[in-house]
Amino acid sequence: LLPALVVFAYLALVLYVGIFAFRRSTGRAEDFFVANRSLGTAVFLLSLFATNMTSFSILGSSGLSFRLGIGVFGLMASTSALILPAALFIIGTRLWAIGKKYGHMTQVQIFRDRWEMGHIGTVIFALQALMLIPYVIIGVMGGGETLEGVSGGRVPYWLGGAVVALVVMSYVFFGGMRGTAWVNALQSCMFLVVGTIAFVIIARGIGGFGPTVRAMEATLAGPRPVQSDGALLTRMRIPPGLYASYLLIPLSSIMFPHIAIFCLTARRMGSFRKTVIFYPLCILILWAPAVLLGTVATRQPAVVAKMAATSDTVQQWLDRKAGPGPKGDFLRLETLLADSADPAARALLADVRAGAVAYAHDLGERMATLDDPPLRAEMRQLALTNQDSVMLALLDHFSPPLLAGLLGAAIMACVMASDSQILALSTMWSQDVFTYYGHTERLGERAQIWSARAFVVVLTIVAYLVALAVHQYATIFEIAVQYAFAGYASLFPVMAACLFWRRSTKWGALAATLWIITCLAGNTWAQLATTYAGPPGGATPLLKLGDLTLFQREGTRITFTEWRMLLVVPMFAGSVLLMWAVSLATRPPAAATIARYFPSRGDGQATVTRG
Amino acid sequence: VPTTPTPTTPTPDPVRPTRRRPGRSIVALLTLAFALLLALRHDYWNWDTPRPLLFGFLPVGLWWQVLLTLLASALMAIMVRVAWPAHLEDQALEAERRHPDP
Repeated sequence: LLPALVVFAYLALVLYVGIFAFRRSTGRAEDFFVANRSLGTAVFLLSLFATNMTSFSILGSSGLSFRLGIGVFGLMASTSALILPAALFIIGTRLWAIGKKYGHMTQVQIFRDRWEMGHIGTVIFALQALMLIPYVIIGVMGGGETLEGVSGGRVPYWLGGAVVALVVMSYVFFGGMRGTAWVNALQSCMFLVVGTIAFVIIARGIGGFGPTVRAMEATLAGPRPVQSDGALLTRMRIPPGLYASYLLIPLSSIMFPHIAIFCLTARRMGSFRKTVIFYPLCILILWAPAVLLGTVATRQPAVVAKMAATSDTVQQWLDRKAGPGPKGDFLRLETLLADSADPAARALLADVRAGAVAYAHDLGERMATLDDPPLRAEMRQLALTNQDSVMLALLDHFSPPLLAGLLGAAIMACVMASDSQILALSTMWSQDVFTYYGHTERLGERAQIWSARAFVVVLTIVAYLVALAVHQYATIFEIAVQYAFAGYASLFPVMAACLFWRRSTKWGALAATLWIITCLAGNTWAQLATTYAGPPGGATPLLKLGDLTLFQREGTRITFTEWRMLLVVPMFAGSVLLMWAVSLATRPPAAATIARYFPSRGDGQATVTRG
Repeated sequence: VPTTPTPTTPTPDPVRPTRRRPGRSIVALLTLAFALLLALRHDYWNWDTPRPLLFGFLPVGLWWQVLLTLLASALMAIMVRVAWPAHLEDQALEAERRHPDP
């Protein structure tokens, strides 16, 4: 229980920091939403990094590495290390300058001003909000999983999620952007420093990476290398088309409202300089250890046993003290325990039936001692259904309790990046809807801030309830990629056209937005209406054009063509095409408006108005 | 001999001329370098093998990508040094100077 207590102490600390920031606030809207555009370089870098590193970055990446191997680093991390700093350099600096010049606080405010649009901006707001909410849900899910993991199942998922949601809601509610930025900077320090210590300790615990990696490599000589442990040291399990299509995903970063809004908080544009240089290094420090540890964890039977023990299926089995499930079927694990030649296995089953094994943690400890090959294979299958718990299982097994608590707190720091998304959504609500439709003018600035705070409360409660409902249906990684990442990456052409193409129009932006909405709706429908029942790693065609497969159904997602590309590829291509074609076919904004955003050299200040 | 300071009238802040945009040839070269790094990310020749192992435990599919990440940081440092869009900051600060917040 000590690790859980350390995590609770950490939560109390971030709550204090957030509320301390509240005491520094001026009560003005610009202070609550963008910290009065006053963040210095260090806080800007650390906070931006924490904002972009979510539970997905540490739990999702190590979990996916447990399934796919070291290729996960190239899949997302190195691409992000290239594209995100470049996007900050090219787009982020321009957003900062425009925000400074015209007082904008959201992307939709910029679109409305640049393209002379009204309700179309509301459509873009609705799409952005719809795509960001899953991201918030992921944060709550990660919080619940983390507390459940570090407490060995004593703090249940629903309670852990509730505690995290409450803490995040509180400091966003009181501290606004300043509180969120300070907490995020603290979180970055936490997971970079403590994460590095964890890596060293776990590496020593497993006896060094060299022997483990060489043992895994030796399995490649077997008859089915793709299914061997050695495949995790290669990219055999990642389809090349899928790998290539991940190139588009990091474009989503600068389109996420919480990142774009964060670009407006810097005191000087110089804050971007160190950020773009050091950002790739921060990614490296966090992702490389997470991927390597997730990969080698597959050779740690005790870790695999703990992951299996904390899977939903086994938790439910434990809760009902073994026996048949709701459909009358027995868990295969129970059958194997009963039939095992190992007396310890049969003794364990008897204890579960007698209710003597109450917690998943205790079950994991007992299962880790079993040395029966069929049981080990089954545990591995169960662990794969709970892949995101791999990092927590490693910590639980290899770290002393106090350090495990600190590391749990570091993971919690990643998980709690949902604070920025909640704040961003409330900022968008306040600026793009409340103020745009005249309520601030009528009711005043205080009412605007309180409307944002009310939005924070409602959003957090909704996110928590959804996180409870969808927990067992999909992994953190899949939800994030399918909805938020693909959608925001496909909005990138809209932002690029806004900032760099004079001839672009609001109708082009609307067409691209509607295209993305259609794709997301189609994807959701296809996910719900179809299933894949073939062997693991396979796919069933969904839509064919002659011999060419356009879309196919896989286990957890819909993919594009037989190269198994992510849906972001057709979504992005359609967005570019529609933005271009519809803009050319419609009337551009007034010349004076275009001149404000594309000043000729030397007359950039001629028509500036702010407010 | 002590001198009496003469009263001076406050002078307005000098308006610093807007700094120049980065040259097109520099931008083209940096774009090319960036595209090269993106292309190198697709190291399909390393797909099915962990060899060569770096330090005896890092598979090539990992250390190659780590190397690219380090190169990305180096490229960003060069971009910041030779192609920083300082003109944007000058325009924004000038706008703020002319129209400060109430």
